[in-house]
Amino acid sequence: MRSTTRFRNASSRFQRFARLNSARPFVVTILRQQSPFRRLYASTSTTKYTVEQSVERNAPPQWLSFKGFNGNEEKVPVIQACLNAGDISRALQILQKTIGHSTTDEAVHLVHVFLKHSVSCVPVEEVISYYEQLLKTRRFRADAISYAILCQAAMVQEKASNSSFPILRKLVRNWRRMNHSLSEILMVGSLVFSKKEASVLAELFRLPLHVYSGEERDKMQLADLYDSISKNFANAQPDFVSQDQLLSVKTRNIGLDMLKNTLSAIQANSKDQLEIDRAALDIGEEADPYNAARQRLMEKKALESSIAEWRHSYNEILRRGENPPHSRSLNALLYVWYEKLEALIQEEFRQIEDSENNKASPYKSRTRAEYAQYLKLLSPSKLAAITVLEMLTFVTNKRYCTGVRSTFALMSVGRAFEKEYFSEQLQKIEAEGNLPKSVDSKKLFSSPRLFNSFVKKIRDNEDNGIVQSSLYQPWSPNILVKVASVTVSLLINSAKIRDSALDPETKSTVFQDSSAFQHGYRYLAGRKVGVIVAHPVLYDILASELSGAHLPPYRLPMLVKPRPWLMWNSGGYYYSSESVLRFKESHEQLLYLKAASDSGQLKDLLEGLTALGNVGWKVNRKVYDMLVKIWNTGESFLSIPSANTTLDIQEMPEKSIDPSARAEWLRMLKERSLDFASQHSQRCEFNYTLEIAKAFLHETFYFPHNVDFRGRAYPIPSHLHHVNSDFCRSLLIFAEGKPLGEEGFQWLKVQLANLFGKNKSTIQERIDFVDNHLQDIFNSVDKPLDGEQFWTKADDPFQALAVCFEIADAIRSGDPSSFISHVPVQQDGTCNGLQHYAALGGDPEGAREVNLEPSNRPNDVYAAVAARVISILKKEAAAGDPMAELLKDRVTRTVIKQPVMTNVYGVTYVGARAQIEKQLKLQEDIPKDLLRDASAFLAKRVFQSLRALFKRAHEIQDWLADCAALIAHSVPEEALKQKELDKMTAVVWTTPLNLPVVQPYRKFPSKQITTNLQSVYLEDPDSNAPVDPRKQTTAVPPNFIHSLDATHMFMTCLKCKKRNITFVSVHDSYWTHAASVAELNGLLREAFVELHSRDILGDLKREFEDRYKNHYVHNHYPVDSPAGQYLLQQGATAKRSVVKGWAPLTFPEVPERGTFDIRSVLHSQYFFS
Amino acid sequence: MTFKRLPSLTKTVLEQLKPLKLHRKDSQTQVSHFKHVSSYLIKDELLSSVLEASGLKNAYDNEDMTILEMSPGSGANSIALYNYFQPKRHVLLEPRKAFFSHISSLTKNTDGRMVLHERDGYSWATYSELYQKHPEYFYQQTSKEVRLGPNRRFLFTGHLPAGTPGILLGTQFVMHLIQRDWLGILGRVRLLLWMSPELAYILLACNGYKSRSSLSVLRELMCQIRVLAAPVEFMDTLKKGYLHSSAVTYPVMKTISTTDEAFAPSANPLVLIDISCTSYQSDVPLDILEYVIQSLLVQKSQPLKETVSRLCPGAENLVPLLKKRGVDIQESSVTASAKSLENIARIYHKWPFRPKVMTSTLLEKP
Repeated sequence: MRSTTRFRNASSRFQRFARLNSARPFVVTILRQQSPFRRLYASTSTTKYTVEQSVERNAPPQWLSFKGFNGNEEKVPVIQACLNAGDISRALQILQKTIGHSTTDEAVHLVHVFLKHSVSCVPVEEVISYYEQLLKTRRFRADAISYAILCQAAMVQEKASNSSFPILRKLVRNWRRMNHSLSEILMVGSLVFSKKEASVLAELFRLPLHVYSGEERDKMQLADLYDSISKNFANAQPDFVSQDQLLSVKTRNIGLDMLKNTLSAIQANSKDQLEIDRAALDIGEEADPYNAARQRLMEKKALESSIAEWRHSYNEILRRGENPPHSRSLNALLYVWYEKLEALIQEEFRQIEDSENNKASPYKSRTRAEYAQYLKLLSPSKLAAITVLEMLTFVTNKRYCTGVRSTFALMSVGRAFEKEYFSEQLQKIEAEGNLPKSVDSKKLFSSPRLFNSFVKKIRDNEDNGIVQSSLYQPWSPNILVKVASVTVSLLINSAKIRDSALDPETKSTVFQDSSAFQHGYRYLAGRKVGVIVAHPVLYDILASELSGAHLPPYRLPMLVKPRPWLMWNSGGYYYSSESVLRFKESHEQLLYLKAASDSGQLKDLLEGLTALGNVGWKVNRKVYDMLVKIWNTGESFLSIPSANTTLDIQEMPEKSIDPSARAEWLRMLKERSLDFASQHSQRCEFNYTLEIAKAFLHETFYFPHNVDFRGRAYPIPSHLHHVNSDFCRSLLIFAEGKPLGEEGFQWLKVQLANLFGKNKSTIQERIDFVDNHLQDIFNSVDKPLDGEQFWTKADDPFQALAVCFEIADAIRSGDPSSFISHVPVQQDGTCNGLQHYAALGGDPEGAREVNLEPSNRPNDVYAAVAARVISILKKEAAAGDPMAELLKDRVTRTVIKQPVMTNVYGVTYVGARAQIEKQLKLQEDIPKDLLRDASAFLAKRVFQSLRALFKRAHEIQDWLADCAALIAHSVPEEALKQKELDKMTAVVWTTPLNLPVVQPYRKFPSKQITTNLQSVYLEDPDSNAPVDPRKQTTAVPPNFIHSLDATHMFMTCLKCKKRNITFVSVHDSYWTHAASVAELNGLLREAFVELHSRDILGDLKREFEDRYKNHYVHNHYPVDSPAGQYLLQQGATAKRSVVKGWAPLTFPEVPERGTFDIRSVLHSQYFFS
Repeated sequence: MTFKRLPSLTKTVLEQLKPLKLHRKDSQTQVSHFKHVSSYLIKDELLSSVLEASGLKNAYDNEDMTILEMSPGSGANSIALYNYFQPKRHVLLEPRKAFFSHISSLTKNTDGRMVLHERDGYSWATYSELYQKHPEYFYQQTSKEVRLGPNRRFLFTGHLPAGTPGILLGTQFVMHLIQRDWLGILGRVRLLLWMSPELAYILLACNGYKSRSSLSVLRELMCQIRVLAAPVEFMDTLKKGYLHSSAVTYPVMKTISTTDEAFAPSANPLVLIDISCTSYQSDVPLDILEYVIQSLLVQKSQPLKETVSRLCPGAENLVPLLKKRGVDIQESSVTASAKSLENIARIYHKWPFRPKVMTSTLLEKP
């Protein structure tokens, strides 16, 4: 009865409303064009839309049935009238008065009426502001219908202006931020949106249609869209498969489909399952909600997804009637291991409970008590999956091709547990609604005041769980290895793999189940160490099967821009506790970093890191296809190892008197075996890289970055990133493209020439080189594998191929200057360390050699050193030195290149000798027994020449080392008074970007820890260990220069950011779009000049003097020195003009600066080129 | 030609030689292994009595015999050997200038039987070059002679350098013996070496010795060894190296005690070892044998069932196989007999699943 009345009332009101509107023709016009209710209105008017709409809705929408309250229903026409008259503020006033503070349905309905009319009269932004005002003043809750009205209006308005729907995007973002889903809007919006509009909305926000039921899709008017997408996808599949086998394999972690399916099977009550598009909160202004949701899912549910994928393969194999443990399907095998391991961990949990209930033996209880509470922080399922995943990563790293040290493996697995636990806690905090709202990093970084206040705010809130990792004390190494040893030893005992062999006696194939991982001991450098070795069959499977890269999420690129770095521990991945600094168990570094971070000093560094992370990347499809083709042949090609690597063992040599022949054979055998094992691992590594590339093939992705303790930036993900091999780099292009322009095209050519090692030619010569090889380039592009293979002759062949593709495409486009280029162009410094030294010392000669001074062609520092060495050798040979005679005609640029390059980074004499020996060995005419002496002889001459050529650089190196030696041997006054004379002072300095660099070299005592697997010895970073003065001293020069080159990189990065230029770096190699190279070149030179215009060494000395002002050094001082005078005053006695004792630490004077004008760099074409 | 015995070293000569301390600042010595203070015998009487007791004379055909001696030092060792064996040829290899003139004068009274080469016996190139220039020094056994016993016409002797170089060189010498072809051409050669007690312990160790190494086991399997002269406490120290629980008895040998005065410049007395290979030849390839023994001895005190399963991935399947073949898998590798360890290596060698690459011999890449 009541509903009938209501309907009648509503009907009459609706008619009145329609009449009112029809009486005003001008409104009709507007409504036809703009109003979200145009169809609704049209149904009562004479427009042609009527038929369709009336079929769809033969009754007036229920939400328009204004029930009225307190007799105020008459206010509706008044509001309408005001709106129609354009008096919106009056309408708002009446509305506010009418509804008062009521939040009843009726009030909400009145608001809907207000909205639907106002959007037809005024721009939608204005209506949104009224609505927000209303929400604020009347404490209204936003509802789906209101948002649907606003969204529809925004869509219509923005479609007309052909924009990228900023208002609509903002609306949806706000809606989601209130923990709502876009689907809610679409469900109710069927009364507002046309089918087409609903489709546009769903596509624009990449609504995952497959996750909704058919009924829900119908309700959202998206059934047709879903059908068409499904059809297209189905049609596209065979094409994908035919392109290459790699694509036919399902990818993990990335495909939302996969994630959704797998998640639903695992977590019935998962919030994410239901609110997938809602997960896209606070990722940032530009975030694509769909990707944001996937990123969050990827980080949160990667483990479950892995397990589900393994289970899927396992079931497939079962269905085929095979035995999964005996199959060569990696996924099925992993599932078997996982299941067994999970069961064993569950059993371990039971044992722990027994221990806690005093049912177990006291010894076992005591042992378990040490790790039990940590082990139980994660579920058996997660512990098992993490252990399996982490152990697999060692197999795919060629560094561990012959096994991984148990200590290292246990620490890694332990850290993975710790990471997962922190991630869980973050998710928990988020679920409780305690995570901070999104921050506008652009605004924050542009205002130091805002930045500092934000930092203060989050620091103050640490205790409330807002800052993730301060909440949780990092697990000690002791705990890490103990916890990990439980699961790793269980895995070693339970993971089996099927192996087959030919029985030499019966000549039949025999099978056995072997442990997939073996724990053993071996002597390395005279010390017995525990190692874990994978079964060769596992290597075989991993090197051949394309089953998706099994990597934890924190080792994959991100689908959205990384979380901006705002604090030392707040940035990068969303659910992973990353530190901005990569440090190795150094609490000292952490303390300094925290202090700098808390005071907001790291703003520039963090901003730079954020900018590096914000660069979008894509997979270079052409190169990818090529690599897949090569990969699928299974043959060795350039750096890609063969799939069928065989160990070629030569026969033992004939017996001879000299056992060195046998020793040589044994050495060769070891080398080949090592190569064999390494190639196997390398193929696994290539496989992983390709798998990741495949997974991200159609994505834009990002690399979160952090820095090492000197400030050098590195991407956090492993395998696929730009600071990696030629193979990896060739796979990457910028997601954003830029038209080449005239200059850009030339820079693209320079890039290709550089990749061919032509970086010592002039720019024009490099361009000419490419112009002269255009036919070769086209041949490379058209027949990369069957043609002349010009590209393979490059120093970095795969990157060269990528550039060949780009150049060919640009030329073939008919107008290279308007060709949109994505390939990064690199500008590299000339021996960048020496450039910094030359600039620091103002050394004109050095500056010329490393191209700080303008010149017509690039100077070659290596050639210059080689020339000097040759001249020394010639003189010595003339004086009758047989070794100089032997070497004088054998010294080339290549022979001395490596020691020159590394000299600046602190290569030792022994290291340089080894580098030279390696090169001399290639010149086969030098007698073997003379090789070592010849290398030593040459190394001395190289060092001598370098010293002569870069005199000031060496003076600075010596000064730095002297200061470091003094600091490392100093003792603070208080300690001296208490007779605590241990050398505890580390060398610390602050970079121009305010990063405190703390040298971590200390003599940490080792601690024996008994674990379930073996006893391990770990350095105890918690102990008060004295510094290692030798290491502190020798490491300062290279570390200081690294801190400077990192500063230069960040300064350039920030300048590029301001100018909106894409910028990434591989230390001293700066990358940007071809079109931006000229601009980048200007900026990086400006940054260098800006950096070296400061009195860097003077500042450093002042910092040292301030930091170590109350430190004393024990030494023998000349009596006439200030320290000697001080000691004499203190009552010390002098012997032979020398006085011994503790005197205040004073630093030597900074070496005098030369005459080189740093501003010349601005005009030096070859400084970076 | 009548044989003229060489006189013992006189006190005057000894006085001249004694202060020659070969330490690292010795500008005359450029050879790296001599940076250690290597001792040498100065009392030839001691060795003479040792040799008399050894009965080694019967093992050689004196008239055709060549003695090759490295680092004779003072020459006391050379005098005793020369007088005892009265060889056809006694070749001395001495690179140290400090001894050169003195030894050179020794050779003058030997009618050309004793020859001095200013060469370093530590360097393998010395032997190759010597063989090329003087093949007459080296007698190569026929295969029949190899079967019958040690080379009757060739003896190698000398002082091994002190410290690690001495241990490494001694190990290489013994490995040549184990291959039953010393210097790759001479067959079964006897070595009479003055060495540090540390190396002697390694070579003498049998099952039950706590610091047993793969060299010990291989030596035990394929070489016979005698201690001809050693310091008084040497055998006691050797005994202490054995596990108390071990039922295995250490080798008891009649030795002549040496004293500090018999050596210079360091007061540490050396041990004289007589070592040669036996007629036994293992059917297990040497590299496999060495690998298995080495791997099993990494964890000496663990039972074989544990250590065997660490030989390679999948080796846990070997354990039941060993049990079936009668190997006591509860025993530890330190107490297991050499034959038992060889048996394990044999089974491993024939095991179809044995990997081609022996991972434990590979080093982790930096």
